[in-house]
This record gives sequence, structure tokens and C-alpha cells, in this order.
Amino acid sequence: MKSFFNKYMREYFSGRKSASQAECRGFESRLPLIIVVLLISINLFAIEPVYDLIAIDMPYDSGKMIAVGWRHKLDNQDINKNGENVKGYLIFRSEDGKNFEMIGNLAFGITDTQTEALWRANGIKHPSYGRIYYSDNVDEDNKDYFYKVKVIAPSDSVWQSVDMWAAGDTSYVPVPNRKEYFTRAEVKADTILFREINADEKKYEQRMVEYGDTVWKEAEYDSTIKPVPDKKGYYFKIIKGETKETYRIDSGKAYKLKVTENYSSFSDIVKANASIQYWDWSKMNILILSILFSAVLLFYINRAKKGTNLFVRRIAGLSEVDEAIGRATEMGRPILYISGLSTIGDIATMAAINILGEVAKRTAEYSTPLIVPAYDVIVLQVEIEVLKEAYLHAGRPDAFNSEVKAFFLTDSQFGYAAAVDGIMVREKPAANFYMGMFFAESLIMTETGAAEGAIQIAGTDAVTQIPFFITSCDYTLMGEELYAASAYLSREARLLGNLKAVDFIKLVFMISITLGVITTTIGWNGLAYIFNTVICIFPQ
Amino acid sequence: MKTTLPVILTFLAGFLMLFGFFIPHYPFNELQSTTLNWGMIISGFTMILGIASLIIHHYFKIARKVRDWQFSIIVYVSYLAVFIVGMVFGINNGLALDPTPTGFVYFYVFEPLQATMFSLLAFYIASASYRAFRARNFEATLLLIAAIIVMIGRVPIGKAIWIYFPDIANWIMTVPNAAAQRGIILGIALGAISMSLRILFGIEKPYMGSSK
Repeated sequence: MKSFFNKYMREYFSGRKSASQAECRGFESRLPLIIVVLLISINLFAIEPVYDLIAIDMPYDSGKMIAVGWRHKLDNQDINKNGENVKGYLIFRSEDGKNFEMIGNLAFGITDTQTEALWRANGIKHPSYGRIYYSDNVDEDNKDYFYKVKVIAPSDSVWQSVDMWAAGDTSYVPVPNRKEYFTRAEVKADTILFREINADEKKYEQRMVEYGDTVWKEAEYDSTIKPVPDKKGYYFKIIKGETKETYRIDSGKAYKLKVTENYSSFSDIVKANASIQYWDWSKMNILILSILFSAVLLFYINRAKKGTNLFVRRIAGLSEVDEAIGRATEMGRPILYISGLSTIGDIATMAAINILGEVAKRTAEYSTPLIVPAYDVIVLQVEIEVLKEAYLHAGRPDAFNSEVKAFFLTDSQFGYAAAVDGIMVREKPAANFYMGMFFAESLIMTETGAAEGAIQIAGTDAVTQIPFFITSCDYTLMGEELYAASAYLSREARLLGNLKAVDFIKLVFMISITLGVITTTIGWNGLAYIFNTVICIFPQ
Repeated sequence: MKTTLPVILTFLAGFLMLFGFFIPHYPFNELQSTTLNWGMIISGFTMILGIASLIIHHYFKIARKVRDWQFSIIVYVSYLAVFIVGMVFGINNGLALDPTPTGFVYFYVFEPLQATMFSLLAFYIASASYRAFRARNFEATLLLIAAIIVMIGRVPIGKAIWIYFPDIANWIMTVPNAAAQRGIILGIALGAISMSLRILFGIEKPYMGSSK
């Protein structure tokens, strides 16, 4: 089209024919130009179908999943520029390649996140520059499924008044002007029927129709309605709302209807079958890093076991544990230990239980009463074991029953906070420990503790609660310090080696981040790209 | 054997779950959900232990007439009342507002009590903010200034006072605040991985009541 247009224009304006000759030829001489302009106009306003459609088995999954991907002229790259021209995509599936049914839709500008591994595996730099993907759950593995896609675009249809008729009226009145879309509609108990007279059966199976001023509903093609002879077109129905007043349609009244969506023609048909995978290659980077981490960990643990002196910086919160216990002992008041409001499956709870063991060894030595109210029953059982072990280790197993109160409180978040506040007010502990995972109740407990004048040490990996603890506690272990606490307190070589290994990995991360920031700032994305594409070296 | 077997079991279970993460094939792909179901079943039974612990704890408080032992009687009465109502009338699952007497207790007694405790947070935040925002040193002064800008920038009057307040508040939250949080999160992630490896390799055994 473009070359023909160029050729014609060259000939027309090249001077091969004089201007007077051209003028003399009048309308006939301009006819080809008019046709060309018309064709270009039609081409401009048509909705472009999707292209480059693929359907492939979703990699690295447990089967029954096929990813359908396509490109479109107005894809994510043009989202800001042309977003208003495309509303989304409809995806159709067939088992025999003939009878297709719509299986889903994808809004414009969205690519299915489940297919992230897929675009990575295809070596595409970024989903914005690749295909748009839709993931489909199929019923069977190793069976061919056929797919095709079409584009949904806003319609330029205008509002048209349509009378709604009482049930039983099947006299669909054709509208003489073909620019209008609808005939009279029929109102039944729960549906409104209307006929779209100029629907193209190749393109339209579904219409979005607005009726009234604000309400819109999806109108579906109703194959059960037989067309009235000589009344070509498709019959649609709208299911009326059941409760909303605004959905009520009165018979004999005129309502405005308009088509709000148009569709492109279908894409080509592609087929694929799903299969189950044996290894998730997309996670190889995690495996490699885990192995490297473990190797560094074992190296430093070995080094520590050989007696290498490993320096660990002073952590104020942990250094003050002894002081807090000593204070409680001197005052003859108990210590309150709370190991968070999470389950035993939480790493923070595990770390809290480790610290409890170290605290309990000291309270056992000083004969200081220890109160351990539990939020979770399984955590309580483990805590009891830890406490027994600590008192046994301190050589005072008999003191466990008389000096330790470990009991279940409640698994209600604010019920627990209220109960802990009550314990603080009644028992007046001299030192409060808050270790583990905390939520909105943290400040309720720590402010009560502060009001009671207790020395408070907190440790959590809940980022949102750290500011509250810093504000209301004397010392706070932030994030990873909580995990380091058991090594710091016990000074055991293997645990200290572990701390050094984490520090080493952290150093590697810091160098990577710093280099990444510098290289990206100066305009070279190579370093960042390495992390993005490293898994592409593995096969699907 | 008493200590070795749990360590071996932990090691095997841990590595099984770890490999399940990399293998999408059955039965590995269902390991996580299966173990989660086991956990839920077990935790259902452990509630008996929890109730026993609660009852015994308060029994001793009443028997020994320790200070404020009367509150323990309230615990017993409340527990028995809800237990009996629940056992006799049951619950009606699936309804937003359970119309049974158990639902009444939950929605008109338990929930308002929870909400009451939660609402106290507003006052605690006020008292904590007062302490935190005292300009005792340079850092506290910096915190005070940042907090004032964020507070003013997040209310409509802030924009009326100075058009740039919301932008500055937004910058504080999305740049310095987010940077600090990400640093902490990175440390937490590394610490959690190392802790998991310690447990997996049997270096630390908190589940056995011993850290060594």
C-alpha cells in the first residue's frame, strides 16, 4: 500500500504530465488519489489484530499449564501514548481446532505474572519489550490445545434510544438506518433481549452494552434465540441485576443503549500441549547462591573451630542483658520474657527461643523468677524444654518449677497484649524482653512496661515495629541482630563462625550494590543486566 | 540416639522441603501444602495442651491465694461460659454475622474488647511520640524535623501552608526511609538464611530445647 501510494504520488507530482493536462482531466484524474486516501483512512481506523502468537508449555511447572503469548502494535511500549485505543485481549481455546470458546481476557498493559519465568527463559530482556502473556490452566497434560486471540477496543458507537417491550413481544422491528445498532428489545423476567442488526458474525460473540446513564452490563450472544426470518443479526441478552434499583428496567419505556467495545479479527491459530517438568531451572540461581552461602558458612565455622580469634562488634542490647538480669535480681523482682506473636515456623521465634535459653541460664544462676507467657501452644512446649535444659545446664533443675512460670495465655492478639499488660502491672517485672515477631500490639506492651519503670530490651525482624521498640525500649536489636544474639551471648565458636560468614556475604552484597549504583548512574547497565540474565544460561 | 535422631529427621525433612522447592514434579510439588496441612492438624490437638496449661496455671493461683487471685476466677467463668455456649449452640460457618449465641458472644463481646485494646494504641503512640520527638541531641532534632514535615505533608493543610510540603514528605518516605528499611530487610534476609542453615545442619537446635 505504502509503495503504491509513493509510486502514484511520484508520478503525479513528478512533472511527467503538465499541470494543465492534469487539471483538464478533472475528477477522473483525481479518482486514484481519492481511492488511495480512502484505503489509508480505512486502514488507520481498523483494529489491528495481534501477531506473532505463540503457545508453549509453561516451563518449570507441575504440568497442566500453557502460556499463550502475542505481540500487538499497541503493546506495553505504547501504553502512555496509545493506551486509550486498546482495552484488552480475549483469549479463545479449542480442543479440535474448530470449536473455540473464550477462556479469559487480559486487560491492556498487563502481562500475566505467572509467565515471568517464561519470558526469562526466552531470553527476553524485560516483559515490557516482549510478548504479552496469558497463562491457561488446561485439563490434561500431553494433549493438543488450540488458541487464538483478538483485541478489544473502545467502540465509536453512539447512544441510541431503544424501547423495552413487555414479555411475549417478539416483534423485533428492524431499524432502517444501518448506522444504528439496536432494534427494540424485549423485557422478560430476568433478561433483556435485543438484536444487533449489523453485527458481523466473524467478529462479534460478545458485546459490552451500557444502558441507563451509569450502569453497564455484559451482554452475551444467545444462541438459543432463533433469528426472525429476514432479520439478520445477532441476539444478545443482558441479565438484569437482582437487588440494585438502578438495574430495574421498565417495560414500554425507552432506554439508551450503545456498543462500548469493538473487536479486531482473530489472530492465527497456534497449538501446544502441557507437560510436567522434573527440575525448575529458573531457580538455579537460588540453588547456586545457596551452595555458595553454605560453603562460606562451613569455611568460617571450620576456621572458628580451629581457634581463630573472630572479632564480633559490641551489640548494646545484648551486652545489657546481664545488667538487666542483675537489676532484677537486686530488686527481687521477676523478669518477663515474650517470644513474639508468631508460630514455631517463624525464624524470628526460633531466634527468640535461642535467646530465651541464654537468658534462662543466667536467671537460673541468680535465682531470679522468670515469667514466660506464650501466645502459641507449640512455642510454649519448646520454650518449656529450653527452660528445663537451661536450668539443668545451670545445675539447678529443681528451681525450674518454683522460679519459672511458663504458661499459655491466649492466641488472640489484643487479648494477649491485655494479659501481658496485666502481668506487668501486677507482677511489676524489673526487666522485660520482647524478642521475635510482633505486630500492632508491640507499643501497647512496651509503653506499659516503660510506665512501670522496667528496663526493656527488644529484638525483632518486623521492620514496621522497629520504630516503636526504639521509641519505648531501652535497647533494641534490629533485624539481623536478633539472629546474631544466640552466637553473641553463647560465644560458641561454630555460631561465631556463622556470624562471620553472614558478614562476608553482606560485604559481597554491599560491593555489588555500590558498583551497581555507580555503573547505573554513569549510564552502563551491564552489571545490573548480569543479575537479570544469569538464569538464561540454563536450559528449559 | 535421643539427640541424633531428631537432628537426622530435621536434616532430612529440611532438605526434602528444599529440594521440593526446585522440583515441580509430583510428589515434591505438594510437599509444602501437605506439611502445612499436617501442621494445622497437629496445632488443633495442641490447643488441648494450651487449655490444660491455662487451667493449671490459674488453679495454682487460686489454690495458693496469690495476689489478685480473684482474676483467675474470672478467667474460669469466662472460659466455661464461652465453652458451654459454643458446645450447646454451635457456630454457623459462612455467615458474615453469625446469628447463633456463640456468634453473639464473638461479635458483641470479644470483638469490642479487641477493638478497645487496639484503640489504646492511639494514646500510646501519642505518648511514645512525645518522648521520641524531644530534641535532646542532633539525631533527635533531625527526627523531630523529619516527623513534623511528614505529618504536615500528609494532611491537606500542609499543601495550603506551602505547596512543596507533600512532595518533601513523600521524598522523605520514599527515599531515605525506604533506603534504611531496605538495608534492614537485606540484613534480615541474610540472617534468616544463615539461621535456617544453622538449624538444617544441626549447629543450632532450638526445637530440642538446646542451642548447642
